[in-house]
Amino acid sequence: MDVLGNLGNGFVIALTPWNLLYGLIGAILGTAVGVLPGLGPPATIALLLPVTYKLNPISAVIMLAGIFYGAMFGGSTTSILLNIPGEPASVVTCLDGYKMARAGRAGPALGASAIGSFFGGVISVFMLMLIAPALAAAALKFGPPEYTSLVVLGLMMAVYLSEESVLKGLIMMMIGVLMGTIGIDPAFGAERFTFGLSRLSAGIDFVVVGMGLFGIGEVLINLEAPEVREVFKTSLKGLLPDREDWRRCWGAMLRGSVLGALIGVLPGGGAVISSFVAYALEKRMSKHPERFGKGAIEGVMAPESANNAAATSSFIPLLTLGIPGNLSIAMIFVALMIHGIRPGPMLIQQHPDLFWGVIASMLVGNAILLALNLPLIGVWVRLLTVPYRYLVVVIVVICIIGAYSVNYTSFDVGAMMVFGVFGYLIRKLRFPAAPLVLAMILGPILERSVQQSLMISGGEFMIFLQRPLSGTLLFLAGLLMLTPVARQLWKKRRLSGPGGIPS
Amino acid sequence: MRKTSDLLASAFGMCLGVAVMIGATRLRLGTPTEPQPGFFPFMAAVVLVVLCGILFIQAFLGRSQGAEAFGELWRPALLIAGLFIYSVVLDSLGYVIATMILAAAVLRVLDAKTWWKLAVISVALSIGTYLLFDRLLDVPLPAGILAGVK
Repeated sequence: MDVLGNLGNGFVIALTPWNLLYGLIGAILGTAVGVLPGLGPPATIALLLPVTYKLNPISAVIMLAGIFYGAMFGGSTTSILLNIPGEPASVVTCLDGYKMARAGRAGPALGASAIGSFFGGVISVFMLMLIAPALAAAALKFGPPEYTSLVVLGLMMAVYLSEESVLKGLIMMMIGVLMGTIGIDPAFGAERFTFGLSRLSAGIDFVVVGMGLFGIGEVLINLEAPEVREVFKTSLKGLLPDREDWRRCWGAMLRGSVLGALIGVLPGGGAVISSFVAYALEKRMSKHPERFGKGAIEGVMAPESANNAAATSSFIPLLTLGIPGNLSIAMIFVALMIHGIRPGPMLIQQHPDLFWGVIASMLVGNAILLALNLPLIGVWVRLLTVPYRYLVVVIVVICIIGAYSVNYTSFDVGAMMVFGVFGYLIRKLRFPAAPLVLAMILGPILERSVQQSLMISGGEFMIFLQRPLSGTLLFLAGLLMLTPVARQLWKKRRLSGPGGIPS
Repeated sequence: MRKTSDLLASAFGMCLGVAVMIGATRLRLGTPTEPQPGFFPFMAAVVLVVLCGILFIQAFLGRSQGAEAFGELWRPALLIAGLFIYSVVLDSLGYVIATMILAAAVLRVLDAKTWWKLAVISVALSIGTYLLFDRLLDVPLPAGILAGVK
């Protein structure tokens, strides 16, 4: 079979000693970032970008992808032991995981989340393998209007999913689009908004923005009130769930994995949303929903299977449409561009080695991560006893190196500091940062496809609505923006209606 | 209640949008069929101004979320100041010395318990990362005044 042959070639690439090493480094770093609150996968991937300049693109993506899904494995550890999510996709795991730990069952909780993550990852890799080539073939028929609408939908999803208000998300998105226009304009070669600075003619660097917003900004927030955290002391014996646990949670693992894999494909969808949906679904399907929130192992299994499945399948829109759906994927998008590879429908045909090599490495990586997270869990738990002040120093130094090494100028370190302050302020004022960064990356794609569409239609904006696929996508995007308004109206009517509770 | 933070933020956004519109007009706008470099930024800026206008009205009517309370500001402020000084002296002092001082300062502010721990960590961190990135990973970092020491 064709797929098997390709996968075989992929394994030949993924199992070369160097690629195995980079996969292992990615998995270890990913688990570490997942375990430690304070530095998320996007910032870590951004930091390692300069290191990957000299690697070949396949090794680079293998390592960076490993960081992303490795964090999905590691993120549950703090949720279970400390009731603090290591990264946003493990927030729901706190609900039942921490309760299990309090009841002396930290071992099975950690075991279930590692096994669930592995299973979700593997299911999702197979989906990536089967769906991506077909989707890429379909995407070849997309014209500029379809691309425009797809980018708009992706951005709207990012806005909708950010925890702040939709209006504020849209404002950040537009600021991101405008920041993306800084530099030399792609169509005419004219300098835009560079204020005569030659530094700005290549545009604002994503790495500097990412390190500032997500690295330094996060540190500044945490510095306001020094946190006190305490590792839950418990014996970590008996990591494997027992037979009774399995009877309860194998269904959750299966449903969580499939659900996560599907949600990851959606533009703007990803690990975070999938974990919430999987938890809610499991609770609804359970015969004993009252057990949830009190230490139900299904409540750990479902979101942990889902978040790793979604992390893996969110590579699908990147590798087939060239549209990154979340921040980590956006950073991998940047890595590919640096290596002169344009992600898009042609990628699988033009770079089959990259596509199949990365897929095979994901299977290898998930197996490595299962080994790293089950027998070695004690090592990661020890990492948690490092006081936050030492972490701050390490994060700051890592961000400095990351920002400096983009162009080897100290100017960028200063720029990173400015973005750090900006990130701190927008967090405080409750503006979401994710739409800004995604819009900055997608802005140039949007500009090009809008201009091409308008040239096709002779300046007629209706083209975006008249083409069926493009119209549908825009309709969905519009629907997303209207849901909060509709919800508010509904709430108001219910409150003022008969039998309502006057506020 | 009026939300001052959102009023200020949306006013800033509107000013930014208007500034971009002026700048884009100078780059020439063109027509939708034959857009010039200023066309796309101008449209984006119009949308930004409209959105910020809505937020301004909401904030004025007290319907927006407002800001989180600020905690103790002196620690973040010190880190920002430290990073600013760092970026100024990095090239002349070199990576190792500048990082050592910054790390020691951050640890001191964050209340490291003993002096020797503080010294060991800042020296190990600065030299360790220099060796890792500059020597092992081929990411050149400024040598500064230690340029002669190999």
